[in-house]
Amino acid sequence: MKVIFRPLFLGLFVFSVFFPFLSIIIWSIAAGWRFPDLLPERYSMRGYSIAFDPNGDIVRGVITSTIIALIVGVIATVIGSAAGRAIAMYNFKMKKAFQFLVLAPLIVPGLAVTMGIQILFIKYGLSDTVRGVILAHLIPTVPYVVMIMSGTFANFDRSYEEQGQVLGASRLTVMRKVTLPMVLPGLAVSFLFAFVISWSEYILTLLVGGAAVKTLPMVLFAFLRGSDLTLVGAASIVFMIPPLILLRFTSKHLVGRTSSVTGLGSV
Amino acid sequence: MTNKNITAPTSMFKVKSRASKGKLKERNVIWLVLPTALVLTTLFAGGFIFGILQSLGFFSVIAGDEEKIGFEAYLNAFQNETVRAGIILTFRVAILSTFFSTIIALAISLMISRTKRFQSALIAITQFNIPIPHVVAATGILLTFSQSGIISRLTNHFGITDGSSGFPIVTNDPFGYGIIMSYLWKEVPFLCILILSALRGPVTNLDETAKTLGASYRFRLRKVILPYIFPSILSGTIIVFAFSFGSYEVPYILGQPYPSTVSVVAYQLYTNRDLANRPTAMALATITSVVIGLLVYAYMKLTQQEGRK
Amino acid sequence: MKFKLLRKLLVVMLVATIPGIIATASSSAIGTTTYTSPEWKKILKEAKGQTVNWYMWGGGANINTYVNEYIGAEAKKYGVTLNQVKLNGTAEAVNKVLGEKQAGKNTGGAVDMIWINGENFATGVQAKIWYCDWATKLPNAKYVDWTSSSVNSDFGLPVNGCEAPWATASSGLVYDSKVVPKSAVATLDGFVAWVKANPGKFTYPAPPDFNGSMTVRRLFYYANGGYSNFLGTYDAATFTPAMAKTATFLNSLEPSLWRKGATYPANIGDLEKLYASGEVSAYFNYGALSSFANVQTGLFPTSTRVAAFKEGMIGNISYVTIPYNSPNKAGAQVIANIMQSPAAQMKMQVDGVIGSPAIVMNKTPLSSQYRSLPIHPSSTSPATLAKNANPELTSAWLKAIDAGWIKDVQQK
Repeated sequence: MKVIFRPLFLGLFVFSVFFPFLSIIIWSIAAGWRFPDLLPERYSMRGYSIAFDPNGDIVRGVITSTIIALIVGVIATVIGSAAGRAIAMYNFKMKKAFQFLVLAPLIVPGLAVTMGIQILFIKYGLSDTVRGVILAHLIPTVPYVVMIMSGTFANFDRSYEEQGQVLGASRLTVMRKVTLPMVLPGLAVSFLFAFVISWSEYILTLLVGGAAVKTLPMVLFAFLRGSDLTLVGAASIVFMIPPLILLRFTSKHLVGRTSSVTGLGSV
Repeated sequence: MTNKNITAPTSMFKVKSRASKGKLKERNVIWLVLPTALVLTTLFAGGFIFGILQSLGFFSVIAGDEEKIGFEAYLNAFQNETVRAGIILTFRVAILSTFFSTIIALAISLMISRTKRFQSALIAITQFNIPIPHVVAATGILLTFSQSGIISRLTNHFGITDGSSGFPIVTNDPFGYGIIMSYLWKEVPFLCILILSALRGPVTNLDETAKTLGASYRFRLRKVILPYIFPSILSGTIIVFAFSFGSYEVPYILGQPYPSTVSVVAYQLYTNRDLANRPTAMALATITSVVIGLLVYAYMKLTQQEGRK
Repeated sequence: MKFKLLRKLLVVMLVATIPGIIATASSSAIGTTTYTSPEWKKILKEAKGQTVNWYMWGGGANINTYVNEYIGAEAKKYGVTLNQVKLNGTAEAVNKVLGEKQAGKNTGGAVDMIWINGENFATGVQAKIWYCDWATKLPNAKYVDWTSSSVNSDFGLPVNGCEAPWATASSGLVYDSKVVPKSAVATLDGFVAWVKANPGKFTYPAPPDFNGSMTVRRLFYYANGGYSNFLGTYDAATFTPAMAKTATFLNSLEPSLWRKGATYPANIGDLEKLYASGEVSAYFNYGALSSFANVQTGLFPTSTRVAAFKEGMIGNISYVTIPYNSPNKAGAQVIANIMQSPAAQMKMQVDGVIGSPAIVMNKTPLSSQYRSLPIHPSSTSPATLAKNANPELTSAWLKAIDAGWIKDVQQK
């Protein structure tokens, strides 16, 4: 009994990870799928031809979302890593207050903050613009990067940097040749989180971009409010692909010996 | 400089070393901190404070309402039936998802860490849902568990249920089952990677030592493993709870028009044609933030006491 | 010598004004004063190179295709770029302009045009955020019957040249003829009886969804024996007993609705998903005349039909309006004019975009072509739906009925 318990439970887990995708995939290639049919009567690629139409909303959504998520990912990773290093390796005045400031966006719903700031965004011409959306996306992403990188830097051995400096290398060279390679796993995971959060963000984009900035979540949400489930299915599949590709490249750093995700474990 | 060989073994010992080295004081730390501080202060703190101000009546849209500064919006929020029902629903959904996702993630992580065969495959599978956007997750749950979803079609085919209306209602339902399922589907993997990472750390050494000293798995679990990974679990639970409480997309797709969770209600109030509802929306958002904050604080205090035992 | 030249000049000038006189004369024959030729030329010149941000409900695939591909292409011929901004609800666009006015942004607004009517239009009128004095002047306005009360008054509120008609939406009952017999859809009485005898197959979206609001409104008329008592300004004394009657009726209907009325679909898209998968078999829809498009893609069953009750269906006209702070008013007017052209209006019906034309097709050169348009079996003629049409009520009634439904039916 005990012998089969673990494989059964784990098997159930694996099944539940993949099962919900089945209905999305089937709907994406269905030409109508009435209840009680187990499978659609007819299949069609209509959903995907609309999805990959270069002039269509989905392609434009992919481009917009990619640009925004890449920029957000880079900015959040850069400034968050600096802050993470500061928290992990230094003591400074107002450190506790700074840590609180960094953690608070994880507690306070993004909706609350964006509703509050909208009037300022309109006044300063940031609403309905891509740069306004990028700024808004920094709010939920930077805290994750700070936490991950503070975990990475907590396990970081300064003596390597010091050795580099002693051997005569400039600060910049030390950073490039010593620090960067050592914290690369952490940076990779940080970028993954920041990118995925920005890529998936809906309500912040809606409030700041105001339907004028057409990211992929906005497009998918609009389809979900319509009646065409085939299109919803195809758009969902397209929506999933870029983040999964990014995961493929960073997955070995997520759970590894030098795992930086432990940083998230020190709220 | 390859880090794989050098960092891996030494990092296990280095965890404590920064404490022995002591934290550094440096003037230049301000440059590390400044960009993040600037971004978060202006956008986050600024937005939050502006929201509170608007909830108190400042910056009113309706001309001539400048005298109406006060807590009226908060009164309106508490008297609003939709808000009250929404708060109850949100609590239920957030607490249940957080509780079950933590337990399930803990169980799975421990099982995976004890499994030798297929371990890397299992870890890869665990990570699979992390980059999936919540909107897609909610769509998947909706299309799978709705009354005309794939499971209903299967049970109908085999005569277990009769027709679409014979299938139990677990999506767009009053209890919030669909919402909870969607949260579980995304949050269990997230918590798993937190816990699995912690399990890979220095605790393995301590565990090995205890094992050689003859301790049973149960004993090691209670006295060595769990206390060690506790901070990660705590941290993950807080993040998951706060997210479940404040999320918009999932309850919108899998919930009902009434009652709906606080974020959905807040957004509806904010975009309502009657502009007098805007301060009420801000009031609700502020109340939500305070509630989550208090709960997190209480949770941390409670578990810190437990940890000291 | 000088006088000869002067006389020639005078004659030339006089002759040059004749086309202008003829133009204004013929347009005032229909009762509107359109832009004079030089005025319109100026607008066309200004519009060249502009990008018009048209904010509209984005949940209709056919509407989106028509707007982006057809209207967009036509606009390009005038050098105007059309940018459709899809909304979850028209209120979002109204809110945006309101927010801009609140922030003091009186020029350079983000919204150039909004597809709108009813309550949303009324909110804007109240807040004074519409650009006016243009809608009746468009060249194609000559095809619009501005004397008709269904055109010059929007849910009871005078249009006053602040919005241009786009489409007529006559609601209809969309149903699956394999499940609902033809005899059950002849009268509303008969349909209600069928619903009670066949539980779980009918429902409506929760107000304030546009179609949900319309269904509740139609059943409000039904429960009160007609609409005649409610045509004037809102009156609480008349409303309260009428709402009570309606709530009693709707609550008695609940056990026969989908999910026994314990919940309602959030919007028309969710309801159509239910229809497409077969969970429900009938619903009311402003866009009933576009259902056939879903049959063509295979989403809806081929047994889909559209019916109008003998007691009449609710219909209205939807418009486009231009916010006061739009920086592209010329381009927006050019597009509004394109939308009102006979070719565009006819294509709208043929492609199953929204409903039927808002212009009088009989007065256009395409009149005979329009009359001989084929009707898809899963659709019906606009005339059928418009027979015995029930009017809309003013915003105050709408708000009250929606709020009454939420309180007395949904929250019970």
